[in-house]
Amino acid sequence: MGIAPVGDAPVPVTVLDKGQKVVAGNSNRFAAGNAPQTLVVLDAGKISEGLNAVLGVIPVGAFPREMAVSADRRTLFLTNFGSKTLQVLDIAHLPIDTNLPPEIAANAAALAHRSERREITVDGKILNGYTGVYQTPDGPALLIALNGNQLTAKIGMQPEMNILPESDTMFFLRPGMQIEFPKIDAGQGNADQVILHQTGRDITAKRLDDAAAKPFLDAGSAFAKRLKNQTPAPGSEAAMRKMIEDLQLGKPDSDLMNADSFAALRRELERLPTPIAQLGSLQSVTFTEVGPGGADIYHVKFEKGSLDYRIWLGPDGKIEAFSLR
Amino acid sequence: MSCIWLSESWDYNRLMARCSSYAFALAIALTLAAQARPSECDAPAASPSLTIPLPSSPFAVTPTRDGCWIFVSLTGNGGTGAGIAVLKRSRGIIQLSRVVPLKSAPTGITLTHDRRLLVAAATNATIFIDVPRMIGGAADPVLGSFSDGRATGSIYANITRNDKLLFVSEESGQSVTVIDLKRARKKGYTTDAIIGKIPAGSAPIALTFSRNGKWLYTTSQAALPDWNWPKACKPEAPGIPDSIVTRPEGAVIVIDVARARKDPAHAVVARVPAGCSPVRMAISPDGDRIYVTARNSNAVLAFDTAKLLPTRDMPKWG
Repeated sequence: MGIAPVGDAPVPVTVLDKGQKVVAGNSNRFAAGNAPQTLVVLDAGKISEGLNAVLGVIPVGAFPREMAVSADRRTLFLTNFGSKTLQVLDIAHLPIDTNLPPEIAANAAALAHRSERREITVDGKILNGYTGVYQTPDGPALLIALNGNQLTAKIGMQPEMNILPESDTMFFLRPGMQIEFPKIDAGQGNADQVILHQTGRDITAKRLDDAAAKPFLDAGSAFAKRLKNQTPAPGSEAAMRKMIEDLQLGKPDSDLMNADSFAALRRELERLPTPIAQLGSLQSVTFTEVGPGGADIYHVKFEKGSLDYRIWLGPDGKIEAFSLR
Repeated sequence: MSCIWLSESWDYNRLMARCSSYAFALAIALTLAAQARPSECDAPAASPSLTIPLPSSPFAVTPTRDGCWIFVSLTGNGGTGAGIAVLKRSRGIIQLSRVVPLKSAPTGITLTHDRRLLVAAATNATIFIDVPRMIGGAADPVLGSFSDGRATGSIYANITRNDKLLFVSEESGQSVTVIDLKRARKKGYTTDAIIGKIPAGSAPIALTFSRNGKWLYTTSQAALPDWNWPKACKPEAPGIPDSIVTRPEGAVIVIDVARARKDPAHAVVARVPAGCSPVRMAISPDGDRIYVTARNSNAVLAFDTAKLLPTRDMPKWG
């Protein structure tokens, strides 16, 4: 019978003043981190009038999650999940601010167009023409694959992600990042390149021929197999043991890893609560799992402590990335 | 008009007007009620907005009827510190009195109408806590708990007015569990008290009774594939354009409470589209409307409860 806009990702809702007001909490739980949020106060009598129903907002803590009203209807209780607080509001004196945050008007505009939204489906034969391996000029390869009727993209060693059609040729990867394919006809050949649109920067990646694509496809299927069977990459434990040995001696080896990883080494080591040299001798190494991000994860025990070690090994046997916790 | 002593939110003036012949007796009763209150627990705080720090992230809050105590479910910090925070409230001042530790992180909490039992939906368990022992400072006020052994994501709990039936929504279990609360209180808090499960779509949460107690409304975050609802919602994450549509709307689901007691599997009598990812619900004082937050529509939807009755698109049972 009515729909009224509020802030982002509303969760709690309650009714006040004998049914005249409806209050909802904007959790903003997917985007806000621990920033303070608001409650929106709506006029129940105007609930079908969209933005007109919004009376104002009340400042609250981070991730407002649940509300309750006292039996005498004079007090509103609110839990702020993110702030770890209980907020107690006097219903007769609610501190309502009539200056609305801009997202409420934006959400009202989005609601006005909601009936126009339809799922975009792209012909499976066209999707098939997009699959392949594309090489960026200076960076990683881009692997486009088809899983059922879902197109996926894998950039370098990053995890494979579903990409979602905005049109026949434009696909959404993540906020600020889209992949654009050239227009091709169904069943008529393959895309020869893709354009990565990344926050104002366009990178063209050219299709690799079958021979050049093979090592990437093999690495992709080998990883999929290792993830399924939960087996580490051959050589990852040896590379990790060598790296730890070098670090304990204070002599990290730049040949063991790529340049980016070597550059990140000092920063990574500084994060550790105990310097690696002070942990004592290495006692045991236990393979934990192949993480969803593609890392081999090991639990490493020392005489005086332990570490969780994530390692990504490149096709050339060098450490492409690692993390120590 | 008959003169009934309303158990909930009775209003002195309204009662006096309705029941003038009983005015004298009522006046005495109300005086006694006032004397029974040692302090003005319900008094609002001096500030219109007061903030009380808690030991870990709170999920839900429920005050006692007299306003003297507030219970808050605490989800803990990385596996420790989960429990019920017990806060004492008096003359506008609220202080943390104790935390009753629980093994499983509590989320939704509800009090029985006899005010003696707090029930917590707690991720993989339903936990029962004795209220007088909790506020009296007794060492272990937890009376019992049970789990059906699976990670069902128990998230909300609500109890019928007569305290006979308990409903627990299972966010990961696509169901609402029906529990014979009267039996559990008499014979022990075990899975024997479970009557059955109501199929409630994907990620059910809210549990709101109609004012006459006949219906229970719940929310389901997205329609199941076999409902054949069109896709109308974007994935629920920041920064995704509205043009990307991958999920159907969620629903308000109507449950017949009497049927739920006997035949939970067939207790759903209606489901209506309720925007993208509906997650919570509130009912108007007259019960004529329910309001639902649609988390992925950034909106509040209002429904006329008179129209939320059994619908023709429901599969026939029997």
